[in-house]
Amino acid sequence: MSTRSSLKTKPKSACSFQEIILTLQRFWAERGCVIGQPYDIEKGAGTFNPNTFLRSLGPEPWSAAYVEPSRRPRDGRYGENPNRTQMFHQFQVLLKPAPVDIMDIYLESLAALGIDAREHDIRFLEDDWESPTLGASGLGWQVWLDGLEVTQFTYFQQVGGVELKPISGEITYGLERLAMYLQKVDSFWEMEYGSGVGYAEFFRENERQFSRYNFEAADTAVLFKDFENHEREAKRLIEAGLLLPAYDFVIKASHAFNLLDARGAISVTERTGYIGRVRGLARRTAVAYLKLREEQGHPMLQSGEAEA
Amino acid sequence: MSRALVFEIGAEEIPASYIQPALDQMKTLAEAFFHENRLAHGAVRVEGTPRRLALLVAGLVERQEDLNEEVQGPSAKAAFGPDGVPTQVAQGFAKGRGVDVAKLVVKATPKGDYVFAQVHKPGRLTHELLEDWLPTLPGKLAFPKSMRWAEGGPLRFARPITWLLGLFGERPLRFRIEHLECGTLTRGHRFLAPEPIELKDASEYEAKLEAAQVVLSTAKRREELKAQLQKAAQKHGTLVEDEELLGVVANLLEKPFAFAGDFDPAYLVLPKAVIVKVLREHQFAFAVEKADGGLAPVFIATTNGIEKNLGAIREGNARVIRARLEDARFFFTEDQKSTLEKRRDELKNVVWQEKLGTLHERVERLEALAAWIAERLAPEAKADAARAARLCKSDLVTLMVGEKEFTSLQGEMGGVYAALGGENQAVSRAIAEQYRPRFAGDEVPSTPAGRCVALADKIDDLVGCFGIGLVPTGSQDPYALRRKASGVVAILKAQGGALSLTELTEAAIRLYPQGRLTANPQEHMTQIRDFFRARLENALVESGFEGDLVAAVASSRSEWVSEAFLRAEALRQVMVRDDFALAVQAFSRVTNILEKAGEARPVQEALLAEGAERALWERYLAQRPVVERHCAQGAFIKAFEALASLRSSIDAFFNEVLVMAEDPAVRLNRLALLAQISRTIALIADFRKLVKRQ
Repeated sequence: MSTRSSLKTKPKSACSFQEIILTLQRFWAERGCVIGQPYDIEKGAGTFNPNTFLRSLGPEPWSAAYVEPSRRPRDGRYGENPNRTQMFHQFQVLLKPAPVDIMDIYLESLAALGIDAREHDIRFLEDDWESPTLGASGLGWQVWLDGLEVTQFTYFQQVGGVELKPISGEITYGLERLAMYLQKVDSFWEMEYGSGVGYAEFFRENERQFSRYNFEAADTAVLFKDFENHEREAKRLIEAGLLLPAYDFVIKASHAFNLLDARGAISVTERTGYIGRVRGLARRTAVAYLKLREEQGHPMLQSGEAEA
Repeated sequence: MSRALVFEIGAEEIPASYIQPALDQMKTLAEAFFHENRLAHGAVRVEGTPRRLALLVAGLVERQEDLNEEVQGPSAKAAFGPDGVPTQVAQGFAKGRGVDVAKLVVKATPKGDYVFAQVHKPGRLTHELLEDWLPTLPGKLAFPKSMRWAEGGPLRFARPITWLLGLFGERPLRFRIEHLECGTLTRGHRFLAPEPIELKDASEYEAKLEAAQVVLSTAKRREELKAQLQKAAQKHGTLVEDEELLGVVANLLEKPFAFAGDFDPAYLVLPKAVIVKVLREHQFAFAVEKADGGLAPVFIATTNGIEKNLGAIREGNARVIRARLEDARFFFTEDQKSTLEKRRDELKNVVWQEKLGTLHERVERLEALAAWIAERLAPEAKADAARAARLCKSDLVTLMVGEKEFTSLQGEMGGVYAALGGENQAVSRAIAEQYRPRFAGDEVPSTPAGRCVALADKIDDLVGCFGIGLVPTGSQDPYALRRKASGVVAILKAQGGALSLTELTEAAIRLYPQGRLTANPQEHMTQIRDFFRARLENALVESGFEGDLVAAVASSRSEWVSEAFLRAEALRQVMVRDDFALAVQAFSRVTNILEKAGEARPVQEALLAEGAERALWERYLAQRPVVERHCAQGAFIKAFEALASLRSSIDAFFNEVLVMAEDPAVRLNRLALLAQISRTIALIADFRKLVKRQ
């Protein structure tokens, strides 16, 4: 059929959005990462994905890379702003323990994208990271490429309120920023997504509709109820020892909060309280998950490396 | 024999603000170590870049000095038996100190006879001492935040340590810190000289780094950077200097390189401060000024020594700046669709402080307070001060100030929007300068109206916070109340005029609704008065007055700020005079006796029996109006002179008259006389607080 052959012959742009994803996936797979998939629940960042949040806990090694569509309802601009959207994509890498040459490996990944460090200004600027909702924090940098922040680089110190040992390195590429840079355009809406499809064709209507939903249409009564339900469900499931499902409800509660926040339904004073409630859930889940893995004998610790 | 030492901690990019404090600590620790270990040395230098902290010592001796010391041991009684034979105790002491028992000597001490050992410790080799001490050094450096890495500690540092270099002359220093082995390899520029560099001798260190595209010295990097920036700016105008930013950028780079880029002149509609902020906060970039004071549509940005492919680097930076300027222009245009007057209503929805109410209530108070202050200090500016105060917080609900990066432009943006909205220059400038002084030594508002608004803003804040118990304690001052109180002092000093801190405080308290301030009213006033007095003393000290002089001035009439400065200055001048000590002595005789006297009463002339007391009273009555007139005019040297002219009468009084007369009526009358004089003396200072000078 003609459809099939036309697919084969589509011109390939080396720095289209999807080529960047494919390059990074191949690169990190070759460095021993398991290539995961986005987690199928709305969330604010790749850190929420259990592949990062839960796997960064405890002594078991873990290396994973995956794309994460990330939703920040408050950042929506109805598709009008050139580089601010309520949904964007992160390419998330988690290396545990963070290898001593992690920065060099990261720089090699930029080289794989065609960026020669001797001809660009690449800088590591202090940027410590904290997620009050996840009880997580770390120290690191934002990485600048010719003045543009393209990556967030963090050594996790704490997740779910638990001090980590060993330490995970988290590399979060802002895919839109990176693509904009590589394609030398000023706006997301001028970017090529891939296979002849523009980023605007792919996502602009999405931005328009979700901005309206986030700011205008979302039913706050329903969302408040959702938040309560998610919280209750998370607590119940933690009690029941069903930690992975429990964690799903932690993510959902967090997103319900973000929507309420975008709707202006939560006052400044209440904000801290809601964030604290989600953090409480995240903490309990983290502690219970650690215990579970310990009871299971840390299956991913290689024999001989098991804890003393 | 001595050699050079180099110790380098290589790390992943260390935050710019961490570098100098860490280097300072390293220097202090090193000097203490050399001192404690009797290691003579030459200059101790510390240098750092984002990727390294280095300790460089010249002329460090190769061997520690021998130690000869006398160590006190047990008492002679315990050390020797009656037969003079050393006991177990003496044996143990000698053994512990590594000396022969036979060599112990007995010496007399204030506590009796004791045994002493002459201990001789041969000095150790310096490199051995270094190999023991250097591994502990990184862990001793304190950072604002520190982290663990790899297997997770226990060592903490600003960022992961990636290599250690240690050379004592030609000798490699051998030790480990956790998994890291100290070696003789350093690294050059991360990208321009990525290969490890082997050092054969400590003295090669700086030159080899230079060859590997790293400028080791922070001072030199800063200098080179400044020259580069100025050069890049030259073609377009002059660089807008920013020493703080310069210091930050110098510590973001190992090798500075600056270049100019441009932006669309259409963005020049934005206020200068906004553009400078965009460049600074987002790109660590500098602005360029034209001869007429306006900005050129140009930014000066930097690279870490990368000069190739400058087109792409410039375009990358320009693109980010363009996007941010576009954001700013959007805020600026949107903001002008409303007025400060309308935005004032929006302040009803903004809580200023939970217990103190909304910002709207606050601006209502500020408007009344600024008008009241102006009436006292600058009546001609009353209308402008009130108008400015009315609108002064409206900019807090504009998009621009609401944006995190521009929050620090609060006030300044208000001024811009006020001018655009047709307010007169006095009003817009008063709004723009309402937060001044923002830090110690910052300028006070430049106009009388501005000073009235700034005073109102600060005093309303102070009495509010104190009124609900938010009082600074120790180093805890989350609402920066010390700074604000110092600001009040600075403004009153600059403005001069007759307004006391007490009156100002009372006026501010009166404007709060009944019951809002929950503190006990009397305690509230006392707390604020003491707080201000401490700030005044601080301001006097900062102005260069000595401690005793400050105490003498501040212990009376401390609520009159500008007067306190005049009194201090007058005192400084008269206290070097030859007869000053004699005058002070006379004043002190008056004031000292009153401490025992209790309450003062009016003087009854009929009871003044003796010649000397009558003479003093008459002299005093003649001089008092002179002193008071000079004080009122701020002429405190003349006031002091008038007061000092009483000296001989005072001395005669004390020589010839018995104050504590047997007749209680006479006694009380004499005390009343002294009390009156004392009160007049206090118009100038409490002279007893002064310390005698040579």
